[in-house]
Amino acid sequence: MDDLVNITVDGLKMQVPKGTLLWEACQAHGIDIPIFCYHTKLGPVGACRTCLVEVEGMTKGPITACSTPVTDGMVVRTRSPIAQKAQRGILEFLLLNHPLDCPICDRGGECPLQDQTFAYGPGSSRYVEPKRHHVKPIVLGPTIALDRERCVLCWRCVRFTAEIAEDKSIVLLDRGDHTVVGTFQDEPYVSNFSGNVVELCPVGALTARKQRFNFRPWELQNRPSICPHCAFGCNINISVRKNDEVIRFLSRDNPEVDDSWLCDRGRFDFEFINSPQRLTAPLVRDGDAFLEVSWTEAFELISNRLRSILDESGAHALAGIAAARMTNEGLHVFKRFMRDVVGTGLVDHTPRPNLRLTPGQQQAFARLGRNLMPIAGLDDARTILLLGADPSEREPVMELRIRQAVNRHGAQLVIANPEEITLSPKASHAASYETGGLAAFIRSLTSALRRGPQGSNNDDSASALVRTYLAEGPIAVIYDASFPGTLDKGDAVLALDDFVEALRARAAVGTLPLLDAANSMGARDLDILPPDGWSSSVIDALLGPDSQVRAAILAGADLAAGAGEETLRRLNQLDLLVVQELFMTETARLADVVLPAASFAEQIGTFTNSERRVQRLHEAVPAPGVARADWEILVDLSQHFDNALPYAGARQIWDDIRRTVPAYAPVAFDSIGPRGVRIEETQVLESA
Amino acid sequence: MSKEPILFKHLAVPDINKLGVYVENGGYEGLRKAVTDMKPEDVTKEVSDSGLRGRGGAGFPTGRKWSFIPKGVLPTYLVVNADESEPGAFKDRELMERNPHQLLEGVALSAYAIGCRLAFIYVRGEFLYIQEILDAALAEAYAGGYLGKNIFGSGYDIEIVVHRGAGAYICGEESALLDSLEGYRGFPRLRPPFPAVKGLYGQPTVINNVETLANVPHIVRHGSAWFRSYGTEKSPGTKICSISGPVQKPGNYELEMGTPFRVLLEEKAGGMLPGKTLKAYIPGGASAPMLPNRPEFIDVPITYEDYPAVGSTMGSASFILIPEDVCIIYAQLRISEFFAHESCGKCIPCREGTPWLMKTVRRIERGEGREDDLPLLLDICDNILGRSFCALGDFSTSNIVASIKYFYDEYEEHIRRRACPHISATAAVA
Amino acid sequence: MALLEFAQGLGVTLRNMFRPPTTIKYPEQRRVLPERERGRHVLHRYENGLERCIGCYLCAGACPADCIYIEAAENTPENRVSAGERYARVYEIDMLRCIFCGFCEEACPTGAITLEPILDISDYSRGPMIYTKDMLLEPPRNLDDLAAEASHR
Repeated sequence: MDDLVNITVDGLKMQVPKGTLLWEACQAHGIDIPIFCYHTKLGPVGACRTCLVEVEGMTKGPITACSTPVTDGMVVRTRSPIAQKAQRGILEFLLLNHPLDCPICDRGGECPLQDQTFAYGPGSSRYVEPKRHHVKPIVLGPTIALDRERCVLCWRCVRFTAEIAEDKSIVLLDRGDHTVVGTFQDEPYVSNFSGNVVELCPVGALTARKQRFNFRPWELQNRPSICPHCAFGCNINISVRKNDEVIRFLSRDNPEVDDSWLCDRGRFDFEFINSPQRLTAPLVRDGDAFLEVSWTEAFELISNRLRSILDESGAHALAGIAAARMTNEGLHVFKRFMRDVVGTGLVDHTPRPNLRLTPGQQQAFARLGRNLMPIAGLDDARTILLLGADPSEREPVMELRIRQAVNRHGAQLVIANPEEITLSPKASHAASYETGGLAAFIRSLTSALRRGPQGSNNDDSASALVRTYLAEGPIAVIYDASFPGTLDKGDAVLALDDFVEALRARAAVGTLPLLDAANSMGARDLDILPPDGWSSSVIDALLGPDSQVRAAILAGADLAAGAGEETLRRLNQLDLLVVQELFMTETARLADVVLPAASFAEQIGTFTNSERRVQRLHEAVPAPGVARADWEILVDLSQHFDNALPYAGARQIWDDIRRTVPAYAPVAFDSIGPRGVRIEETQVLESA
Repeated sequence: MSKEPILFKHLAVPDINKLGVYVENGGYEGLRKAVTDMKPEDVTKEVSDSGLRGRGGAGFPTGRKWSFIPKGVLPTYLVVNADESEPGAFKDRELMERNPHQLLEGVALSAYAIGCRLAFIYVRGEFLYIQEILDAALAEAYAGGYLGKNIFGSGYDIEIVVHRGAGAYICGEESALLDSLEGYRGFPRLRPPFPAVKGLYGQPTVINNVETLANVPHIVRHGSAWFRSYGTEKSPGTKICSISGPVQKPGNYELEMGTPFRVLLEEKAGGMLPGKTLKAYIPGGASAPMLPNRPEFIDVPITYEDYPAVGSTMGSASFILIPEDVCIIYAQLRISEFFAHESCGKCIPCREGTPWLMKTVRRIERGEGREDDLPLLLDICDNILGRSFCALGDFSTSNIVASIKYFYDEYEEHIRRRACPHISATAAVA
Repeated sequence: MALLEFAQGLGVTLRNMFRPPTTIKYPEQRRVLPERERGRHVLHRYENGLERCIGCYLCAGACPADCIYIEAAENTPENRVSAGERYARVYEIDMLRCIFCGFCEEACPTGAITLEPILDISDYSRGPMIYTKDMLLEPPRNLDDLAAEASHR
């Protein structure tokens, strides 16, 4: 390996790849060097100088390990008197104007400045002058507050907004020791990703306005989980207080998925878990009111009434709709309950694209769903093609991955969208088409592709696009699986499938769909769909004017929210409406029986994200009252029927999923580690 | 000076700032010779052979700097550092003010050598009138066909843009200058990549001082051997020295390198004002360590190599004289205030250290010094020196260390007497 | 000989019969406790009425019996409870768990909590033994008291 160089650090000989930053090399070999401004996800800036080390042969004093690439034969001392003196000196400078009110500061207890001062700093300061004072706190925007006194000007937030989110919102103002963090002309800091700067801040300078001064880090326990808000599947840690209150979500770095970033919705939208409005006991309608009952009473009531409806009108009188944010386990048990226990095929999930596909289009759609690329593969892509897709709206963290692919890996971004989207300024090429004209646009690309090298010399815009951007792979094609704005979605599916096939003949291609909910992919893989698949929708069957459905089980599906009179009337007409929910939703208000369900943070299970990565949920907090996981509710309900379901735990259900969904067969429950397991394309193909 | 001056040769010629007069005096001959007869590499070689070193202060060999420009990466840029923000330095100002075409010719020549077709002159914010002079000279040169498209029928195009900064010391640091030129706030950049590889707008860039480039036309015209006949082996050529303070004739003097400081002080500047005696002098602007009035420091030859030998640096050869009746702590306070004010705030040692130095010196000056303040000052300097991001941090320490070294008694007296023994003089200067 | 020893023994009894009893009629009578007796906790205020406690949780962190429970909140200009940004919205001590070691007092960075010579900590059930903040916090001193104190000095 000629790419390795030999260096010696503190007497330890190591071989590291050429060009590695000295700090990274030391870190990989367990040698700690204090840092502030450096952050592995951001480029080096060399501003704080805390990481000074002694290098043999240096002429200008100690060097910063965070910004110096290793060179062959380098001899480094990180704890020599020179290095120690330098590190101590810098920490003393850092603390000169730092308030040292650690008992108040929100970062106290998880503060790198505290830790490094203890480990490397001087015991006391020689500074006798008054400290610098600023007005505080400064409200930086709707989510973030800033304390300029605690700020150590490490540039992390500045670099995050400049390099990662690229909104360049947070800047340094003024000069010298008057330098402060702020926004240009005090404009509010509004960003989809603002919460990340709180986590990046190495001191308590940037705080989330929602979570200021109401907890201390050491009373929290971090429990791994998956963000439930979109199909991207960002990894999170749920910080839980002693009293089982969820305090915050932190990012949990999964380089394959989120690369340690979270969007603000994912980070801040968790208070529903703690809400006192959560349902805590089964409720049964009594006139206009609800009565709290025991699970057994609720189950008996449901089973008796359901049986009589089924006896009178047959299995087709019952429909079931599950939320696509339910776990794979919940969805699987839901499907089995509907199909095997009560014998109805009328199952569906929501939200989902209402595609109305013909059988041929269904095959094309399935083909598209198989050929998924890994999210991390965006970094290798030469061209990223967004076809009518806006990741910033649907899966925000994907926006950051795309920016990173463009900035650090030189990918070209091509955006085809009728409107300007957030990423548009980043595009190498932006193509527009009339709203609803996605299929036609795709076909123009396909025909340019099919014309081959000669034909693509035409000077129409499609040919130019193909020639410039689609000549070489790898190409990442990102599309929105619900084809917003397109009327004939089936046609768009066909056009897209054809385009991908044509592209594949020329280059390596991968696709990624934008989906609706955290487990939309799981619902698809587990076939929580009506018997004719994507052709129809059970919601239509349930709410249609000549519906035969007399009873419905709605697991987390809030059909009545924002719905019209007709929908409410239909739901009211049902002889039996059973709702499994977290809250007393609009739909739950119409129900005959309301069953309290556990949220994603209160159960063990799995989600499958849009790149078909199966990731584990853990029980971070107990469910309120007697609320239970969706699958537990249905398994217990099944005990009141003839074909009772046999499951005792999520693991057992997963094993059953592996038996029935071949693509999932290779994935053992215990093999799903902290980074999840991505189901590769070939595995899906075999199962198809 | 025994030989003819190089840069100031035509200073006395009336209207030398006009194109016609400049051309009559042999102006743009070097440029014509280069673009018609010489390959760019030849120009670089001539400059390398001449031993010309950067006149901004660091003294880096100019030809070598140009040779770092990678071949085939286009465009390349030449940026002229006319920020001249060092306290005590005013040589570039005079060069630009009185003989702008000499600089423009040097810029065009150097640009030719590195294959650059767009050069920038970054003048400091306060130099509004100099920008006007340069722009007028540029307009003349464009009109006369000396600059612009296809000069002298050679097919070589050169455009020069004069950009005025916003008056920050840090923007004299070459990478911060590039930031400022690009429209950002001036912060020094991380190296590597060096500007020669990734400079202005991410392209290979050479940054040279005004005086350096003003030498180039003469080198090209007369050859490197002629240039080497001036100065010393390691410091060929002449140096424009700015001298300020209580002397008879403060100002700029072009001296052959190797001329002792005594000649500058006593012959050129005419010695001290009546009633003033020299206490100490700073040879290279506020960033160079001061030297006390001792014969061995007065007889130092003005070269890049001789000042480091006595523990200072020639820098931009901006001589600041401190007379006997000025309190050295007061002088130091002014210097420390300057650095604290001009620190850019990027790195911690300089951002936090320079105000700390300033506040501590101020305390001593006001008679509130404590016994351990002197070791404290030296230790703060030690913690800044070599630790800061760019040289500005180092500069802020040099005079503290030097003034404590040479004037320890004066510091001690301040602390002991809890007052400034020069109080009246301080008031007079202030 | 034996008689002497018998008499000596009776002498002890006799002597103690006339000694005043060591027990006192609590709670009508109270023993004077040493000033530094580690009894029940008191949360203190500054003279301006602000609570000393900044809700930093260091006492809870130091507590070996895990008997201190705090929920912090942020001071607002309308509702300023303590100096700095944070204050203890909930501050509870489970007196049944407390071992009166005084570590909380040592951990406190603002001198907000001290163990005082207060011993009457008892009740009929467990619930009331969890002392809440309003029970622990010393009442705000009014200005007249302050003036009176000042005149005594």
